Amino acid sequence: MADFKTPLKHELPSSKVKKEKDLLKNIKFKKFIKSKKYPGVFQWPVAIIFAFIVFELIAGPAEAHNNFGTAGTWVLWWPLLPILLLFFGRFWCIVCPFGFLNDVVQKFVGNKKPVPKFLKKYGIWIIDITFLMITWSDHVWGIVENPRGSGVLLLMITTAVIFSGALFERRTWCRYLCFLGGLSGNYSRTGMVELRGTPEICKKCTAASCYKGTSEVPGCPMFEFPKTMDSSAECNLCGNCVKNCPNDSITISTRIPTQELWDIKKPKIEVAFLAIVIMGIVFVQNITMLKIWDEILKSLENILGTTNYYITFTVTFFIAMLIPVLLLLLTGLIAKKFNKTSIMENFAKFGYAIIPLDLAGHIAHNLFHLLAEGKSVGYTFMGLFGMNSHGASTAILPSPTIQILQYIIIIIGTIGSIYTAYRIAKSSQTKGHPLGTSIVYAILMILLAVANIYLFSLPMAMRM
Amino acid sequence: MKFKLFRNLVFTLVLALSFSTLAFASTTGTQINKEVNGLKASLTFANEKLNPGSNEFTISILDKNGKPLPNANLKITAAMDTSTDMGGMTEDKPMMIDLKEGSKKGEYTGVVDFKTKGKWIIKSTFDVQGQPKNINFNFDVQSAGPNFLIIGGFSVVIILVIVIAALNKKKSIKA
Repeated sequence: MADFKTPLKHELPSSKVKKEKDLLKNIKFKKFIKSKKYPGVFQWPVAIIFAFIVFELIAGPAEAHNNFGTAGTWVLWWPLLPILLLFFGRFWCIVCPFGFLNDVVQKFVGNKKPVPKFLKKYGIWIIDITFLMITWSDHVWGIVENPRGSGVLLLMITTAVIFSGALFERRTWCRYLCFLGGLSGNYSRTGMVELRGTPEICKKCTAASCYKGTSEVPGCPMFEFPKTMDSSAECNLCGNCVKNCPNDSITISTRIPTQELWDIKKPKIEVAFLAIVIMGIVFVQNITMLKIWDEILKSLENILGTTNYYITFTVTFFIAMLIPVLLLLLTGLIAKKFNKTSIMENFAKFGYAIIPLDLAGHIAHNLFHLLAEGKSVGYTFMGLFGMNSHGASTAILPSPTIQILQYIIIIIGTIGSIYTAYRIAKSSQTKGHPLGTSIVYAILMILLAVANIYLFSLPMAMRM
Repeated sequence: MKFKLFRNLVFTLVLALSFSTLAFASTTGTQINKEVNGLKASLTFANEKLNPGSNEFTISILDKNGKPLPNANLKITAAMDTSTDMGGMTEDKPMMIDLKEGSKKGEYTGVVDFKTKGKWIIKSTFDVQGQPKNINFNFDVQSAGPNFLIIGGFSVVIILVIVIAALNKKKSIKA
């Protein structure tokens, strides 16, 4: 690969144009990001832990409550993931063992074929469908509660990642196929970290080393071009652009959570669809863990005239996904009277406003598992050395305290969503006052928040 | 060549993913037949080995002529066998299992959730001409070992993908 590291020193504007909050102004931090150790220093330990977790899931104890892999995956990592995404954007994706595996496979046997057009066009839809299918499979076959099921899921993803890394260029898997990447991308839009190029510097640059790479460091693995990047949804903070840019154009700065959502220039229906179905998924996750689920199931069996769980759950799943989608469409129809915008345009635009509430719902739901079952991570780890903790409580905090924390998180998420809807209405509405549109969407957010709070107020079953 | 490589890789991937379903597959069932006072009781599990977690079963209790008992009022409970328990370590109460009518007369199906490995007793209580009777079934629930078929299947596919990709890369470098 040609070296594009040709500095533009004479044309550089003064450093005043750079953002004041730029974390790369800290010399030690910048040195660390530019060093060869980053991101390997995070990737290797995570990869080793991941390998051990996969081994535990496929060969360790078959009971979830005794398996360190189950505890490490579903009680620790899964609840921490949305919190990490909120604070650090998609930083997890550079640490992720699957992405790292993709890089390693590509380095040795990669054919680096260009990404097929259909993946570029329908990638997010594939992610949407995969995400729904995996959630459905989990409920029907019990992936989370069954260590072997979790192990098979991880092996399937590993195989697909190796396939993608061996055939396609860069991180095609992470960008266009990973269902977790789709979720992480959506949540990262609300995140507190952003990496950008400095427009005044980038506009004079013709090298594009950040995208193309240099002889020493490859280009952006996520197919992003910092010069035109206006979203953190696809940036995994790998630092390649920081290392490659000859003009010090790249900045990494903090921002107000949800800020990116206030002015979405090209809203996409598929992104809005993922945002709203995540709300449905959170509902399904909550409902099926509630003690009233058995009663709901019995009523459904009577209505449908079958006891087949595949059918009864599929109907529940379909309804749970459909209700939020219909509610968002209906709200778009009402909002049309105020903003004179089509229903689908409203769906695409204001779907993004659901993301803060999605994130809050995800964090709140998993907070129960993290804080009510958190000690199981330690107990199962001790179990690896033959130490038995049979009968000991797994709770870090008592249930009423966890419930209060869940309510607070939902309230914060609701405020975030309502404010985001207001900002979207304000930035996109040219005719009339945005208040009418904002109130309509505020009602939707409150309705979804009340449904969440009601579900969190009911007793929930544990994973372990 | 490109098409051939792509076809080979897709084929191997499909093969890999299809292995996943095997994780949930079972071979033959586990059956216990008992004859007490002329009554024939049969308890059958769908799985060959009983593992912790949900296990579906079918139970039938028939009279000496092989006919279902009228008004049997069958009830099933499951509990860990505490007869060998030192110092009453196990405190779990018996779990009542919901039953549904099976495909044949006198046959019922249910799902028992074995919480952990060890010895379990499934107790059936029923009425014969108004008199309560019970028949117990003892089971050893074992911790499921790794499924080597699944692990082997995935390993083979992964190796195949890597080998095909490496050969193709070598060819393209030579070309």
